Amino acid sequence: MICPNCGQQNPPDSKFCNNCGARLTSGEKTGAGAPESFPQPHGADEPDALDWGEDVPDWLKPDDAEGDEQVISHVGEDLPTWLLDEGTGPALFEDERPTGGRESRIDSGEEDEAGPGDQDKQGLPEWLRGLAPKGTGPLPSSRAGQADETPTPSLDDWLAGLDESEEAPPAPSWLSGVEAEDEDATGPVDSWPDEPQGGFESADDWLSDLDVGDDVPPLPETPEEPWAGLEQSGFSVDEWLAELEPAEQQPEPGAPEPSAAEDAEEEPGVPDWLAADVEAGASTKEPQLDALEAIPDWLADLEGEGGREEIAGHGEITGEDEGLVGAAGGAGDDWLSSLEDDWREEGVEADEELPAWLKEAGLPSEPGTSGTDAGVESPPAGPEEPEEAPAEAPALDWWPAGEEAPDWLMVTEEPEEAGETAQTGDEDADWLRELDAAIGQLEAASQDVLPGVPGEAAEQELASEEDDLETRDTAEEGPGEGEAEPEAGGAAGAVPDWLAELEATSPDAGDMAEVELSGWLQEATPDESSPEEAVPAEAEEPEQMFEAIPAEGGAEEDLPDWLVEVTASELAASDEVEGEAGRWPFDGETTGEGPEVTEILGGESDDEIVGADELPDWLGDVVGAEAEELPAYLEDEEAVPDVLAGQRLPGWLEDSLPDEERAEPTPLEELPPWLVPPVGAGAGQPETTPEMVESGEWADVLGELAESQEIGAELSAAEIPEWLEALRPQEELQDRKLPADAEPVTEGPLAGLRGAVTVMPVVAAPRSAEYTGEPEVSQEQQEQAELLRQLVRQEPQEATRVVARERARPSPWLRVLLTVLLFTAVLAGLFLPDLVAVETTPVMPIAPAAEVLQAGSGRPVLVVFDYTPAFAGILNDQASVLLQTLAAQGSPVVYASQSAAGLGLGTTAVEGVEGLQTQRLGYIAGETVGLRRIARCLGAESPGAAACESYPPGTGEAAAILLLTAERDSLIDWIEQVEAVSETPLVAGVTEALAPVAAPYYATGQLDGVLAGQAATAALAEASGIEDVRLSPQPLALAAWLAAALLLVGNIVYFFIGLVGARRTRKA
Amino acid sequence: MNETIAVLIGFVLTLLIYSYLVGDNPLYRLAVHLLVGVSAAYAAVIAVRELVWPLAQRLLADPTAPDNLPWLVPLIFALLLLLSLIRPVAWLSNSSVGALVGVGAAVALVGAITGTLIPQAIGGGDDAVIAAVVAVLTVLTLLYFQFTGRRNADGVVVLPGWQRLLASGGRLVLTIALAALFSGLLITSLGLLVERVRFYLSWALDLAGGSLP
Repeated sequence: MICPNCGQQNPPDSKFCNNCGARLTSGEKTGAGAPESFPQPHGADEPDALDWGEDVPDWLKPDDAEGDEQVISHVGEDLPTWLLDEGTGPALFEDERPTGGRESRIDSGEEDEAGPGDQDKQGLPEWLRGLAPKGTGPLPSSRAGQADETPTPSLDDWLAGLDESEEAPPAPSWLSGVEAEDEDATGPVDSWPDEPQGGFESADDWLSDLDVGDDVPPLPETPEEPWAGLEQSGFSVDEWLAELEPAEQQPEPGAPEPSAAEDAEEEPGVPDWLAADVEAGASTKEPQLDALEAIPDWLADLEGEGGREEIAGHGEITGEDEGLVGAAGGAGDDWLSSLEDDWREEGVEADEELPAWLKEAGLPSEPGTSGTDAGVESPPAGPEEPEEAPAEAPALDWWPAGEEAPDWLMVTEEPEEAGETAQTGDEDADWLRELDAAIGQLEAASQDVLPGVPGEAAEQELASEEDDLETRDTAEEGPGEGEAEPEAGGAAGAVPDWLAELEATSPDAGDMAEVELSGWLQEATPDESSPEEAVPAEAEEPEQMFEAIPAEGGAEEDLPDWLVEVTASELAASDEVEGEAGRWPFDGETTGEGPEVTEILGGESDDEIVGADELPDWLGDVVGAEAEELPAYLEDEEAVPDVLAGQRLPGWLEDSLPDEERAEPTPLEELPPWLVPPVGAGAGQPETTPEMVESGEWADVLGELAESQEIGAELSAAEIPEWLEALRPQEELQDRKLPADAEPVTEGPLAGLRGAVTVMPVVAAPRSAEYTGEPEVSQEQQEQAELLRQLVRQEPQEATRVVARERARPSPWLRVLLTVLLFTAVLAGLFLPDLVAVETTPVMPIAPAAEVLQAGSGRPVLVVFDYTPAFAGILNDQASVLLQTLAAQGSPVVYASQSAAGLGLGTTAVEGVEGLQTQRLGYIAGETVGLRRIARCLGAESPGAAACESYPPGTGEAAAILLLTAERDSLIDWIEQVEAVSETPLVAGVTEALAPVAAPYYATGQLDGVLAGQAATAALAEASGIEDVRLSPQPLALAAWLAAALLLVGNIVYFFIGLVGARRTRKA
Repeated sequence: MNETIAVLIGFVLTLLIYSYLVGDNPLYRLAVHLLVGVSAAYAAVIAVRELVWPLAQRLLADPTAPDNLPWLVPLIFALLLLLSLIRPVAWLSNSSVGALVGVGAAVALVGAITGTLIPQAIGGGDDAVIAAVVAVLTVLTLLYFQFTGRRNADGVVVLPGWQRLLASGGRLVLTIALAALFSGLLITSLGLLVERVRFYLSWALDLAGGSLP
């Protein structure tokens, strides 16, 4: 693929020229013939990359769907074709890739259309006003501060000349060719030199149509001869280019530069600005150029020659571009004229803020700045090159002759954008029609300002006043420019204030932050109120920021370290990927076709660059943000200005830098004491470079700070109070108390150890209690204490008393006496039966018992022997009598017992009765349960029932139960468990002791008969006729009487003993 | 001869028991221990002979007889009760003891209610006066065992006056009853003493060729 710019062969897949960096479009033809079209701007490839406002006219919005044809249709209505090509992309408002001056043209055109007398309507159109940030005030058309000044000649100068031209063609042929080529969206502007001349022949033709009014000039249909119309109109492209040539060669030292007035005279047919527009429109719109274009006018002025050198260092400009650069001023003067008109009309003193529309369309957005900057980046008129300033005069033909246009209005430094602007002005028919209307208003306004000077006279007057203004502006640019432009030096007072204000923000002033922006502009730009917030905009775009760094502003050591590193490493590395990562604005425009410009610009140095810290924040946004690499002049470490070399950015500025570019932290030596981190905390911090130490920046800054003092140094020495010493850790105290030659411990578990901690005196010393006063004890408390003491004393005495009781037991001799008495009574009764007559009567009647036994004659009788051998002396006699009785009446006996011994006694008793039929039921186990079981058998209706299977025969048929017992439980159990269940009569033969127990049951009928004791036995035996049972009641009676006597005597004795004891106790 | 030895042994043991009249002495304790031991042994022999052996013969003769199966339950309880001698498994005997105590208590309770309480309460006989006296004396006796009262300022529980009065009546009833029991017991004891003296006098006299008058 052949580069349309330099003709160098490039690989087919290359997008940019390897030689010049120009963009290589795929559809571009390799032929170096006629210019086919302008190169597509960035926005054309990415139409959706920008959010178009609703107010933006359709023809400015990219519309891929409609295609180029539809766009062209819009051109016939609103814009020329060349503008269509540029306007199809969103780059119009895009910061990164501006379309180059088109917006500027639009702005200027709209300003003109608005007119000076209509504040509400004279502003930007709605779609353009919509682009301004919300909340912004009216556009700077309200700068009334300039009203009292001489009105600046506007478009009416040259437009008036155009109006007089009757031969103006509808449209220049070259524009037609350009328009035709735009449809293909290829054809770089660089190909213009091949066949450019014919196109300018008809330039005056279409310009004359501007006066026609709203009629759209017919576009030529023969793109092959774009310059034909222009040549026919008498315009010589060669001459025109020749005139432009010096303007482009202004930076060239020693080159003669004609003044603006001279250039204006040399180009009567086509104004310079138009030529510049044409050339600018033909130039390649490289996005990188916008970065430089974004530099404000005043900045460009301050740069002086450096600006051009900077441009030359990054790109090359073809000769055609240079020719078009001059016309860029035409684009700029449009809006400037309208602006001035506004100011003139309002008569209000201009404030120091940049106009909103300028901020919107001029400063922050590259498209707008192209046209504006075309004039801004005028050839510097520094002291080194004083002859370069006049070379800018031809670019501003509207500028009054003899007056030197201000540097910032010069357009020669922006050839590409100026050319774009010129082209835009050539082809924008509708727009020019609107301009025409605006011009008419301007004329009217000028007549109002200068009454009595009608028509041409008024315009001339305005032109003269404008020249004065320019003269003043030139005079205020500094001594350098004044020397370089002697013509303008004397007319310094003609510079309008607003221009002076703009220039006042030049880097020479050293304070870019002083530039104030309008409200909405400040919102649009990064906040510059605080340096910390403003820095990121600069840090993110270092290459843009350093574009304006003046090399002459400081020594090399002023450059921050990070910048040095960047320029040495990263920027150097960026050259390797220059073709891919991006290009410097002028890379794509450097062609072999403009060797002069290349040489001129290439020879410039980077010494005159605005300082990075002097660059305003908003400039970071103005400068195109797309270029991510530093400019070429920064790639070389030597090219870094001395001002910045070796210097460090302030901390607040370093924070905003990218990580890779962020400078190393401030060395500890330079930090104030209170900022020095603790030991070990800064292990990860980079070491301070010698350059940082040697640089005097921090030394100066820190030198101003007050000398730090050690914390507590100002405090006077004092003794620690004791109470505070007491709080000292024990470890510390021990460390202090331990002597070096501590003796080993000799005792205790720590014996042999040295340095053992001694026992604390407080612990070792006996604790002495000190009473602060006598305790108050109440009388009640004392009594209670005394009672407690008594109880304590009495407790052991009570134990003694227990022992004393044992002593009080009766004497055994008394027992012996009693025993003797008892035996005596018994023996006396035995041996003396007649000693006393004893008539025995049973306690309970025996008759019922005898009746039961007698009723059961012949039937079995269950005889239970529930007594032990201890009672055998009594119950055996009773059993013997009863058994004999039963035997006598023929009743068989079934005997059983709940006591093992009783069973034996029963057996003996049964066996001792002759003729008695007996059945041994045996032992009755289980007590109550066993008795309950027997009761079931005894109550059985049928003999031999299941309940009586385990019992001897006849048990269930027992006629009576004869219970012989001496135990209460046995008697009760038999009554409760058997007698209550069965119907068998129960006769109890009991002892005298059990008679009281059996008496209630006998009374209730539960016992059918009771035989209690020997008396009952004797009575029963007597009633039954049994004689062998011998019962002697005398011994028992004597024993009973004895017992009774002893009890009585005993009670009496003990009664008196008790009384005596009680008396003793009472006495005790 | 054997009878004489038996009577002599009996007589000696009797003297040992009566030695208690002069106080607790080892001879009395020896006699008591012999009596308890002999009585227990005799009871055990009687139990084995009268209960265990017959049951064992029955079960061994036909263990699977339907009539014998119910005996397995008391047999198991008896075996478990023997485990009380083995400490690790002594807890297994608790079931047997529990069954014995529980069942015995239940049966005794029922018998007391049906055989004593109810008959004594309603069986006052034909004499209503006696029945009323019995009821009153019973109530007085029960009130004597009522110790519930109110605590006075000194912290001593004091029964109400009327309760103390009734309790005194109950106490009198108890004293009379106990006196009757004691007198009966005394008579019984004297009767037993007379019988033993006479027995041994008779035996001694018989040995001497004499006799009592």
